[in-house]
Amino acid sequence: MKQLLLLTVFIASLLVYPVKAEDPESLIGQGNDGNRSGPVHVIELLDDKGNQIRSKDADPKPFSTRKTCGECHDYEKIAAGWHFNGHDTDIEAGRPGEPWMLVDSKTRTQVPMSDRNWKGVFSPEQMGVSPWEFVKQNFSHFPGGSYGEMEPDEPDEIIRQEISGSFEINCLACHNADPHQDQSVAAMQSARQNYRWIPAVSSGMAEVKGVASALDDFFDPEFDEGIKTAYKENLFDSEDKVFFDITGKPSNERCYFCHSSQKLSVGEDQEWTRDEDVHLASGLNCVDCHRNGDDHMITRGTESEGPGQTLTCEGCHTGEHHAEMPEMGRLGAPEPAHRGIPVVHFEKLTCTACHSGPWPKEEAGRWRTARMHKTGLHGKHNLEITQPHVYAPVLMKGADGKIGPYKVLWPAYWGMLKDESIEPMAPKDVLAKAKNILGKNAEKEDDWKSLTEQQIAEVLKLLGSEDAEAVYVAGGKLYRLNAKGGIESQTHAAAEPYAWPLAHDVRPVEQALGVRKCKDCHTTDSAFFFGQVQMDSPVKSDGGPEFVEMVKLQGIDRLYMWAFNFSFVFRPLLKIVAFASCGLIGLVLLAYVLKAVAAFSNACAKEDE
Amino acid sequence: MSNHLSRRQFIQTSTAIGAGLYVSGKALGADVPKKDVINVALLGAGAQGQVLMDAILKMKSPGIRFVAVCDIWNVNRRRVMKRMKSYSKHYGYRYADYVDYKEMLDTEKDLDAVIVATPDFWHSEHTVACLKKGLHVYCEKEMSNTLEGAKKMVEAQKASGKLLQIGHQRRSNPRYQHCYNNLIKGSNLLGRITTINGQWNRSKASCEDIMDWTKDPEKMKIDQATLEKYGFKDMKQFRNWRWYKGMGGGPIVDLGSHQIDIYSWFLGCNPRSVIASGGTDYWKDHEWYDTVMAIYEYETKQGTVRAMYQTGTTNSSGGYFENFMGDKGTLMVSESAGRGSVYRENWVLEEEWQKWVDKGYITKSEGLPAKKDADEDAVLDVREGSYAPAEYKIPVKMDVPYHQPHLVNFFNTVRGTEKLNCPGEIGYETAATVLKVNEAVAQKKRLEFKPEDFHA
Repeated sequence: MKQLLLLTVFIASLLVYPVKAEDPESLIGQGNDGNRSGPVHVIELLDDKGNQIRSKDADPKPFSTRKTCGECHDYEKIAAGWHFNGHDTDIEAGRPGEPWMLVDSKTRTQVPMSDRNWKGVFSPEQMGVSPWEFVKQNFSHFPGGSYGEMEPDEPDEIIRQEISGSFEINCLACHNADPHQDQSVAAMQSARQNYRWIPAVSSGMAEVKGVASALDDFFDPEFDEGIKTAYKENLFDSEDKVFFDITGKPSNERCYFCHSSQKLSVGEDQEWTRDEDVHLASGLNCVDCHRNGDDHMITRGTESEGPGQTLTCEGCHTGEHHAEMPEMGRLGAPEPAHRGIPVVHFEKLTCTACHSGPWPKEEAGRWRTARMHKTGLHGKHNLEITQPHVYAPVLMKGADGKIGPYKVLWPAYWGMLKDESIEPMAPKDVLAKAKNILGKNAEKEDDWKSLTEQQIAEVLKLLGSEDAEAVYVAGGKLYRLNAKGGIESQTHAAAEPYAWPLAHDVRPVEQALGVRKCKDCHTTDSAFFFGQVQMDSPVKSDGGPEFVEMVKLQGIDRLYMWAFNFSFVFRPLLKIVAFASCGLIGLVLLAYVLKAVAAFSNACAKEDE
Repeated sequence: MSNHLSRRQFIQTSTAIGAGLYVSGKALGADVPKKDVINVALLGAGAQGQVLMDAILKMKSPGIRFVAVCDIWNVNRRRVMKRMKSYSKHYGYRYADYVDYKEMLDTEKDLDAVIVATPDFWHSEHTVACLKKGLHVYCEKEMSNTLEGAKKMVEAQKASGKLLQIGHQRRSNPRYQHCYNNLIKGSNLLGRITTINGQWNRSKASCEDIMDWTKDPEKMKIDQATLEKYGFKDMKQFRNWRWYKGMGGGPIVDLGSHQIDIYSWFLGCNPRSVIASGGTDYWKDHEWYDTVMAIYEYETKQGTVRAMYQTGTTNSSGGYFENFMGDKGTLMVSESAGRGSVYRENWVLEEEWQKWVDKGYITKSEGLPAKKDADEDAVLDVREGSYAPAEYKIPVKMDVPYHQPHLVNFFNTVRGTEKLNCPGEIGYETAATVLKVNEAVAQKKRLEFKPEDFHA
């Protein structure tokens, strides 16, 4: 009876006192009255429970962006924005982008990992990576939200999240104009699993002593002294409020931390020789083109509809002269002359094919990116991190049917072949069965721990079963056991490289392809068509690394392209030959016409006689 | 009555609602057969209780469920409850906490086993009560701070027919098992063991009084009535009970019992006498001896063995290890996974040990020559020449939490697939062996054991 009463009261309390959700529309940070000066933020700090943090607190907590910024801004709406919705499989992801990576040297695995519906990526779940593990692996350049705020399911991860806190969106990573904002510090705190402390410490407002990952599972933040926060002296005013130097237009520095690339052939001591994107050199900022509203759905530069449509190459540089108002020239964008370029180029190529990225060379170079190779961590240059191997520029045909420059990597993974599709295996599952084979002394070749065909065969035998065939994908090939227990390789869709478009750095017009006329691309040895891309693989090969030509990735027949390009040898002469031929034909025709006229005149004269 | 009962009912009720919303079979634990489910209570949730709980959880056995915790300190209960909550959330079972163990035993109807990790002076009462309730018990060492208490535990175990494992975890440690089964019994590698020495030295810093409740005394202190009800005069005594007479046995019992247990195990017999020296030389406000040196005499089938043991609390030199010295070789082993070597006496031919290398009992140390060149500065003994004995390694790894194999053994025995490695009777023998040292120190003389001293 007592239990029934308790149950009734409990349910009734839920009905009578529903949890009242804050109306997002009523938040003062929503909307914009058109005044271009931003509000000055002198605000209270709130911890992750919503309690105010005061200057005199004996044991102050780190402030929470969800609670502090969320007092005025619709945190949930922002959390659905592009940078923070990577976990959402319902979002239409658009053109492929740079994925997160799973790299495991023991199993010779490198796969692009994302929950976005891009072709060729694998979800963290498919690779046996929980949200908690995902954040741990990608700690250095993770912006917060998304996987960082998902509640773990595994008990051990639940307890660790209680100690470390959620990895909330770090609003200050972009919006803090204070030069103390240091994402390298954020990365270090993230490495320590001090997720709750990231916004406070990376902003320079606080220090933290302690490492959450080192605290044992029984750590109780209420009673145990394992991790301590200390705010900067004089941070709080007399009302216990704090000044935030907030900008609505983040500087390029903020974007660069996660969106930088390094061309390995340049060499670390020659980085200063690389030029920035011509748009930046001209005075624009990243956010002039890559903008968003409250929803934080940042424009990616390829929008084909909506307000972002005009923030694209075409949107600023081209357009109808005679529309209701001039459509081109936004932000001072010059109109392209494209003098003498046949229209077919604009049908078959993207703008970026000629204008973006490094000038094509006979072999696509190796690159590192901030997110994949953890660059920008000051004090720890991570120069030794070279995997995954990323190649660029690779001129290839994209999903839109146009040829453009891409960054490319070759997936390598173990999987089970079922009905021509491959279900990848998590590295830990492979290692559980094949540790002894994969762990044998492996030579290091080109950053990979090399793998012999013998090893592949032994592992495939261990992984396979009667119901499913185990395979290994690497370097553009699929390896499977043959009837004799050896290995055979073949091409397979699952082995195709993962590619994402390259748009920066845009080169000045005098460095665009075609500035020196047709021969920039249309020669029989042009890098544009016949440049090589290494098919990166850990599999030992006596013949050395294999390559694929870009013309193959463009879906064009090599012989046809070679012959077409060969014709350009004669093209300058073609006009002369054509005119000369026409002239000659004309003269011959004239001669016959004159002869005919003469004959006619003679005939008329004879008749008169 | 405490308000645990009403809170517990609330937990039961609300958990019942929540459980009804689970759709995952895993959440309901439906994928674990009922016969494999072992509902466990943790009685004593202090540092050692947490270590044991952690080791059990790391077994990743979904059938083993912590459903109750009992501790008189709210801080300990909170810490453990956080872990229990995360597992119960994942697997969908309920849990509860208690201050009074009797209330727990009366309320929890589905318990199968109890981990007893309370202070030594409570071991007997707690273990006997749990056994009488028909529960299997894993009781931390020292079995009891008195032999009378230990005896009651053995008697209760026999009367109940339930299992009683005493927490001398080295008995299940695969490295120690390898040493005993293969090096001592299997190969007689060391020859006739004549002497043993062992130690556990701790630094001063490790032996300072624990004063952790002072961070927030208002919230963290146990009220005086509760302290006194459970035998403590103040918080300092509660947190540092090991140093007090009538509660623990001091470092020789706390630490030494682990290793002295190994002496008896490896020699296959109990000692016949002990002589000891010790005192409260450094920690003047402690009751028990902070420095103790004891020498046991064993009479084995092969002859007399003299075994020295020391424990110190002001210097960590050498750490902890046991060293068994025979006429053919020496076994140096430690629970510390990185330490463990076997040394071949120089007169023993390398070929004689090669067969044991080939069998995988020992491995040759890489990079270390079997013999060193003569070096005047390295003369160990003028009659020995300058040769250091050849070193071999113990080839068995132990890369799980130290207590885990012993707990695995316990739970497998509960399931009927193994036998206990340290049942109550063996624990009693060790208790008798170790508790005598304090007597020997106090009496300042050699004390003899009678065979019946080791039988409850």
